[in-house]
Amino acid sequence: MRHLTEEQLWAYLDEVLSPGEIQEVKNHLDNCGDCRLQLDGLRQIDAEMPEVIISEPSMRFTQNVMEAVELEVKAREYPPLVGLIWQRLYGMGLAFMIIGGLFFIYMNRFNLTLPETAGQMSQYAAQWTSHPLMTTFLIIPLVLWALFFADRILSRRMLGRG
Amino acid sequence: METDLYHIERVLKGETNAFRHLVERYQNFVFTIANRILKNREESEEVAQDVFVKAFNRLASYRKESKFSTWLYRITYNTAIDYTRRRKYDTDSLDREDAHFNVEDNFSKGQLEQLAGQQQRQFLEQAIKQLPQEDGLVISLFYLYEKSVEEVAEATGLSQSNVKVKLFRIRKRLKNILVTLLNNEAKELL
Repeated sequence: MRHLTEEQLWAYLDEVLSPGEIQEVKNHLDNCGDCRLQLDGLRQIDAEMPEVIISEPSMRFTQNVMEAVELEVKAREYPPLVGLIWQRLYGMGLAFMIIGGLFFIYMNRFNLTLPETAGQMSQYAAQWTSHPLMTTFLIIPLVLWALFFADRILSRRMLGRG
Repeated sequence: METDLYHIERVLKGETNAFRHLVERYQNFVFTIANRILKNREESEEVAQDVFVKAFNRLASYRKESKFSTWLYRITYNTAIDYTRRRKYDTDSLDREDAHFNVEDNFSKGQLEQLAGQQQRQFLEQAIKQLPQEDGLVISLFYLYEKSVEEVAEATGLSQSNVKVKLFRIRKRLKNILVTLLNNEAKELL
């Protein structure tokens, strides 16, 4: 009697045979003890395979992943450094435009030329900035800006981005 | 049980915690694939963690036409392979020809399959570790996908008939490895 091949037995176990082929195998197994024994053995191995193949990570795995994901979410809250610089440049540009506009209005108001206006402004600026209190008020914003930039850079490094 | 799409949509709406459900559902899947490639638990866990963070960051680009597990498999495979290249592993070091195994079938038909469960499991574990990487991946995916040839084909890009042929060859190779291991074991005992 011709026995079933191992390929046929595996295909039978994997349920990939056609209905006709399944019936053929069943008919043979009804009459062949050797093939039934071999099928039982393969079935046993097949049952063990998921236990052997599928591995599990450590108990803390999910927690570790969620912590990493939380860091990613926090990192998104900080805008990119280049974007921040462009924002400041646009702000400075706007400030210059406003100051220039006021300068222009002052010139027209008092019918002054540009050198005369600049000269008057210089005198006023020299008077204002010579006062210690005014000097302090000018220096403090510069120091605060520097600290602000330093904080952004250090925060981004702590979050792991260069 | 909610579908993967349900949790994905919640994450995309900003409910970060919903991602936990996807991690719990697929952690074994991702870890098993990584471990099959890297053959090291610590590194596999590191890579698996990277995979989930990448998946989180790229979730908006997930196309719903394919299964989430297929998409995740591709990220896992690429991340693990990149990792091996950085570590300069020889991933083909375990690629053995069948001829290298001394298939002296001293065991009668059926005797191999009739080993006690625990002993059989130990030998199976050793044998699977000795499979070439690609074979190990295909057989792992087959059992991870609960024996669905269709899903293995979709994940690997192979045709279904190709997967069936590969599975048969892998099982044959596995059996040869098992016979060799058993022969060696018997020789040590004598």
